[in-house]
Amino acid sequence: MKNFWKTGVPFIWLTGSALALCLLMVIGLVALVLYHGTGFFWPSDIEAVVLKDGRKAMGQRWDKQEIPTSNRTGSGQFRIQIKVGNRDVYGSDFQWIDESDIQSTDYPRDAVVFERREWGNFYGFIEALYEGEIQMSNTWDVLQAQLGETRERHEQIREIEKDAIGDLNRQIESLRLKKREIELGGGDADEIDAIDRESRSYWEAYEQLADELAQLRSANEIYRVDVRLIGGEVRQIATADIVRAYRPNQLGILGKSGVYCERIGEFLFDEPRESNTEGGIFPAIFGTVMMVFLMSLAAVPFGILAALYLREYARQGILVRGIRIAVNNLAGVPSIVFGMFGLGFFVYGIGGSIDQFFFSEALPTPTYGTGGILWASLTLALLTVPVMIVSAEEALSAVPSDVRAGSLALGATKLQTILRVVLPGALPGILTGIILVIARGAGEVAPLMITGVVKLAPSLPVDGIWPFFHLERKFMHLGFHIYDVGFQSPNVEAARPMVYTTTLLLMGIVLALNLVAILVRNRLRKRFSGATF
Amino acid sequence: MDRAGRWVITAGGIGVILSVLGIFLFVLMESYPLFLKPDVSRAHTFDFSHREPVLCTGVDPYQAVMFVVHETGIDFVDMTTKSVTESVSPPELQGRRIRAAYRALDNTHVGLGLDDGTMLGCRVNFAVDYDAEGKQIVTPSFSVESTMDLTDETLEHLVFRHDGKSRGTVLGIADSGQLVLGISETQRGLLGDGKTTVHLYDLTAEIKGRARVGAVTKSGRYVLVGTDRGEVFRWEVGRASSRPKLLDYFRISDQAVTALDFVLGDVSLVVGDVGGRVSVWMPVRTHEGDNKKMFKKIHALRSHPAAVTALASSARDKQFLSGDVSGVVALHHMTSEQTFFQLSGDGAIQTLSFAPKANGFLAVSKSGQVTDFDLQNPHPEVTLQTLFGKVWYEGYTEPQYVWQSTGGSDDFEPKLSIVPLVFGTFKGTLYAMLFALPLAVLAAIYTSDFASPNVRGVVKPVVELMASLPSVILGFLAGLWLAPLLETRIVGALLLLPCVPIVVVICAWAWGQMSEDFARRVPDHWILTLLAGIALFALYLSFALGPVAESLLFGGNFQSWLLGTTNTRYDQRNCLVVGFAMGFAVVPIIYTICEDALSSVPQHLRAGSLALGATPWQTAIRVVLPTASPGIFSATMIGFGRAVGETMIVLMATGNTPILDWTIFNGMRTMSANIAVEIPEAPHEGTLYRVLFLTGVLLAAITFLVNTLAEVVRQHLREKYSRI
Repeated sequence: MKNFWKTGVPFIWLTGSALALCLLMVIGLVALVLYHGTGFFWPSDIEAVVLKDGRKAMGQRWDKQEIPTSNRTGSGQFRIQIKVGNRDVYGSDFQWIDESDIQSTDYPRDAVVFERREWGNFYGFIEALYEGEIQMSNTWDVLQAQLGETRERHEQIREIEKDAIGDLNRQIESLRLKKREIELGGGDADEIDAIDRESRSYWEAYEQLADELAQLRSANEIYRVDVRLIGGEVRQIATADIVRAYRPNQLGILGKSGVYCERIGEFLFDEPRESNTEGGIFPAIFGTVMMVFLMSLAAVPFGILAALYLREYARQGILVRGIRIAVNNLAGVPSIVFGMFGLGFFVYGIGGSIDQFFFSEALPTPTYGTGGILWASLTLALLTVPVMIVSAEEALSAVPSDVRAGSLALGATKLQTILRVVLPGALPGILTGIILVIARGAGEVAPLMITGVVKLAPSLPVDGIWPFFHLERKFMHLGFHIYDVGFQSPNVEAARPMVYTTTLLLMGIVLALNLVAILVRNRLRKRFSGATF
Repeated sequence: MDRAGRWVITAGGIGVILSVLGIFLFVLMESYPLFLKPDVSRAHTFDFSHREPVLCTGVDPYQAVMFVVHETGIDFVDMTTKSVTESVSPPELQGRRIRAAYRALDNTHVGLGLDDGTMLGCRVNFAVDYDAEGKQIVTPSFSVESTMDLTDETLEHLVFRHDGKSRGTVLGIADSGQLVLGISETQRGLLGDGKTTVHLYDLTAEIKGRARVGAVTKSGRYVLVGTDRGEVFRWEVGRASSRPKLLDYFRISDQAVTALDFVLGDVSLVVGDVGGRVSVWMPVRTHEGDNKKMFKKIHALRSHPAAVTALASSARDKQFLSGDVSGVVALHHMTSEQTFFQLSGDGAIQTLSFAPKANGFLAVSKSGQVTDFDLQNPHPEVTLQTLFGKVWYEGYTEPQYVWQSTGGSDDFEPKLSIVPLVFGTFKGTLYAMLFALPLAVLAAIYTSDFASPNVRGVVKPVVELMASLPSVILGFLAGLWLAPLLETRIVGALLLLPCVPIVVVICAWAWGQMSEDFARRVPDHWILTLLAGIALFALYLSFALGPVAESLLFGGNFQSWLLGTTNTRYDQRNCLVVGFAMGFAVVPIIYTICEDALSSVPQHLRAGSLALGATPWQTAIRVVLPTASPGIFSATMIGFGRAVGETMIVLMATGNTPILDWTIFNGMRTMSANIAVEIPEAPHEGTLYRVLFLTGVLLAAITFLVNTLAEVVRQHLREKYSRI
């Protein structure tokens, strides 16, 4: 036994198990997120449960767990959690049922899931379909046709509300500001009159649109569907309120996959519903991408510039060495400190001054003097510029100095050498740096929280209204979406799958970016290690 | 062209580096004004010697109009033109003279004490309006609302407080030393003004010595009187119709009390005496859990050279002014125990009054000179002592470190001690490092010394990938997945600590019993897979044993056992969760740097050691590890720096309560999470905003120092390697 310890083998095994644990943690985390993140959109079967006391419940299975007891040895009894939906009827989405109370479980073929625009899912059986007062033949196809038609109208309504009316609102608001500007500057009665007239004409146009909207709405309202709950009660739902209806118990694998893909599509490309807990996260994806883009636009060129200076122009000495260490360490300064700087300097300092000089008529409502995508991007650019400098310098120093000497010896100027010889040689390394910067920027949340991210942005930072890019607007972000929906949402239980899915998406993006960076770097190392000697 | 290029690159490069370094400077500058001295200047002196004595003054919130109460009435003065705009002599005076006056902290209720013992309860109003050009116009108005016959003698000192609803309380001290308390109560009728009843109580006989000064709380519940023997008597007033109950009295000094006033909030009492001493007294619970409170001297401020004659509290914060017979005016802050300045003046101070926004004050001398001072003191409550030391706040039984930046009421005092936050930061970091350091260093040793190059080529990028995981994901999983999971399986999680090593060692032993031929034929990467399997088994084993151990050792429920035996509450989001999640974030950083340091130890050292007969393990631990130890130190430092600044994980995986407690089973609040939580609500350039920036400076300084240290050590190590 003593020999066994002496060989050191158990210690080696211990160190090995530490590494194994690290790897297990990574794999376990990815697996956990994959498991929770991919399953949410799968249309699982609808269970109808009859309890021993005669009560009934119907919905989709959510969870199953051992009934907890006061001393944790386990009761051997299980309970299931069913998403019964129908929040407007039952008051809550979920119901715990002890398995011992269940008399029978079956999967009714006609059970329908209605995904609604409000109030979450509805589970039931179709009783009757109506168009106005006329009862339609009770078929699935008729309902789908109605759904298609109302969806189209719904889109129209959205378009009018968002584009046409939004446009009018902006016109009226800009007129109001113009009027205020004139009033602040002394005021010319004629001009004010003209503005009033103009704004009146907009109001008239607005009323016309409102009429149109009302017509569309009432046209949509005539389609209704009577739905029987499992308890026998019948409720009427306007077809216009339904996003999607399907009968999972009748769907085969293929059909379910269809619904699955449709829901993923909705998740990626649609706007959120029900305060982010349902629908899509398109604005968050868009906001993240745009923020990262703006950030790279600022961080990459300046980072390369600084690296070029440090590596090619600065006289190497104690000062440059100190600067190098300082820049290196800046990458380790907490991101929240950068966030504070962004808030104090960009938002309050620069933004406040811009408001004072260019948007004084809108005050006290701040335009640039509040968090926005521009300030958030610049803050993150400051945060990532050290990363860029360090990796660009590394790439530059990997270019062999004899290549430089050769170029100079052939009569090229220093600038020509840099632009034509050094930079192309360092390009792959710089690319790696850019990818790392993007990955770091995409995953950072804390500084954004105080410089312009919101849980729900009314409009994207890019749209069809002049000047097309609205850099002062607040934006949504995948990382903040996770924090907000996971921790501040009123219905955390129902929202959790959504958060897992967002997490999966964010993790996928960041890990893929890093993987690419690592692969590029490894390939480069091989190339240079072959080339230099 | 070449020159232009050089110029652009040099300018750009230096610019980028300077601006990045400028961040520190900016953050520092934002917090610097916290420690600035107040700015005070004499704006104007109004000569009211023809009205001598001036009994009381006050000014509107915009400092546009001042009112001056003198013997025969009240004058309003326009502060911009410096001229009297209106002199009012209320008809209710009927030729009598005003001998005492009192302005309440609300700046509207003013009491006038007359020479026949009558009190006039008045109201001063400042109506704010804007003229056609948008200029502000303040119009004062003055009305007598109530009268009360306190006594037949001339009033020498008067206190008048109104609770803003129905009760007015008047404390009068007459020439002869007679002490009278008057309470008026208005029953609001459904129609009209309702009926007002007045109750008078003569308290002269209840005190020892002669009453000199008094103070009354806004609600009228407590009445305090200071005497010429240096004592303060305290009464409690219940219903208006029942006689006030004398609660207690306490000795301030052996000299006469000459000034008495409440600090904002009506809890702490400022006392000035003939000797010029100024002190603050607070009701403090005599015993923990006991409801009885005794007045105790909490703060002593810088003394005046002569008898204190006037006090005035700020309506904004816990500042107050004191003035004395020799004309010295001093500004103090109660909680931070500061005396900002002592200005010497022209003559004995008659009365003082703070501007409602605390941005100026008026000092009135006995000779009728009214001096207007401008004051800029935006952060009076912050000193190094209040940030880093224990502070005795109102309502606490002893000095403490407290962080509580916002409260429910208007007179809430922000408590900004950084200590709990610094503590929380280090607590979280400590637990994260306890988890991460052994794991990462051991894993690095295995990778550099015992794993095959193939395994190394795969493992390293995977762990590096782990480093790039956004912390918001780790925080989310820790807070919403791990924390609820651990709550029921806490004992199993604790069992991991002994379980994993024991299982691994047993397995290693079993492996050694197998034929060497077989063991050698197993490929290297299979060993790691096998180890992962073993680790998984250990994981399963400890969680399976968890409930058994819990019922054997902790009576079935760990949480209640914890509460019962150590009096520690188990929080769901505790340091165990944070330590794990933050450790997860730190492990790859430490691992990568450690592994680099270990694997770049020159191979001839290893070869020499092995050739001398040392086992691989001995070589690793006695030769490689000591050589690379500076690298491991620098890895630790960098990991530490990362953990100190981590925001999202702590924000999501702890309860964010600023407590001072090392226990692993409850949470904490770190500086970084505190910034994230509070800065969106902190008013720009306010005290909280600046204090948060100060914590940012602290955070940046810590990480910068730690990282620089690590970097320097690493560079030395590189030199060392090149020498060997």
